[in-house]
Amino acid sequence: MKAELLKGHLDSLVLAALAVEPAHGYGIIARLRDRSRDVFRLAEGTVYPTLHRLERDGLVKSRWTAASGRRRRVYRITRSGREALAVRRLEWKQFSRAVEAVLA
Amino acid sequence: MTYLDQLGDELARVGIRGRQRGRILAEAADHIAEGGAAEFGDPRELAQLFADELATQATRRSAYVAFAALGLAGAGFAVGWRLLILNGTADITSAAFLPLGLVAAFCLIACPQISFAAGLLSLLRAHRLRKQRAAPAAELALLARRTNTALAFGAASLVAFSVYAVDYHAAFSRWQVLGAGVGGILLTLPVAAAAISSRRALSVRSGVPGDAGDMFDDLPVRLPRRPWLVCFALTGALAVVFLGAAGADEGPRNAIAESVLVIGSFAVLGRRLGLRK
Repeated sequence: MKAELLKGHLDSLVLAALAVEPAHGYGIIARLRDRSRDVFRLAEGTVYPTLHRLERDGLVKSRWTAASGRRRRVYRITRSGREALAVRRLEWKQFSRAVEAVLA
Repeated sequence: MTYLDQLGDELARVGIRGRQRGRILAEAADHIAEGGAAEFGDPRELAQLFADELATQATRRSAYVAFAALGLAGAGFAVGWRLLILNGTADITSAAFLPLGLVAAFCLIACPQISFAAGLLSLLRAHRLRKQRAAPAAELALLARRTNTALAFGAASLVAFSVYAVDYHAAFSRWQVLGAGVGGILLTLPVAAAAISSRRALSVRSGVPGDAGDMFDDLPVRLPRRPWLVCFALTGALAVVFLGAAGADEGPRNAIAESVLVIGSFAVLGRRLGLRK
């Protein structure tokens, strides 16, 4: 899938990936790839500006942990993040239904 | 040169330094150790992606900080002025050094108004950009110019206040002069803090292309895109207010002085503040 198509929905996708359980950046990318059956492939680094922005907006929180002798930043979704995700899911359903109706 | 070195250099190039840069590099190092650098993305593009968003957020925030600081300083200025002229204003010719006194008196009238206008324009633009993740560099530059102009004229107002009190000390009591001098300096502190915040925001550079726009893009109401027409309409409205507020002697003089100030400021600062293109 074209990266440009994905960019507009990256916030929602990252929130959805974190709604399952907390994860670090690489874990989120892997989760997106798995759940999309390898359709969502994007430059992996681009997930970090999104994560930082979601954190500034209070939709996710993060903290440093240690893993294999390395520092690792683990993100988890906040209550506001879950509320925002619920709204975005609803919007997406309406939008995709409308697009489907037109394209079909 | 490793990928992380390249990313570090690119982050520095776009103005991301210190803790922010350290965090990005630490997260990238962890990611690359697990998945390799090949899929991580072009370091230049990634650094720019961070910068576009950080610059937008920082410039917008510095505009809000500046407006709050100027609001605080403005309230202090108003109280200080009332206390200074408790027993009446000084005779304009009674300054210890008349040229300085005249400049201070002029600045006391002109600078707060310009600061308020620039601050308001800055706030309007920041509000318009509130939902934008990455605003065009030209828009952010205009927002920063408005913020910095508001801060500069705000600071000039406070300096003028202190200078006026000292230069016309013969007309005021000692406590009034001392209070104005110290108060003026104290009130510049929040303005200086806001100026530092604005300077930091400018260090991160957005690379998003696009036009800066002008005041017509910021106003909540649609007006004909004729800047000078709007300027003359505003001047007329203010002249009427000044005519009505003062008596028959001072009203016309004040209205003419205010009109000259508004039109002159529009001519000199119009492009800088995005009032006209």
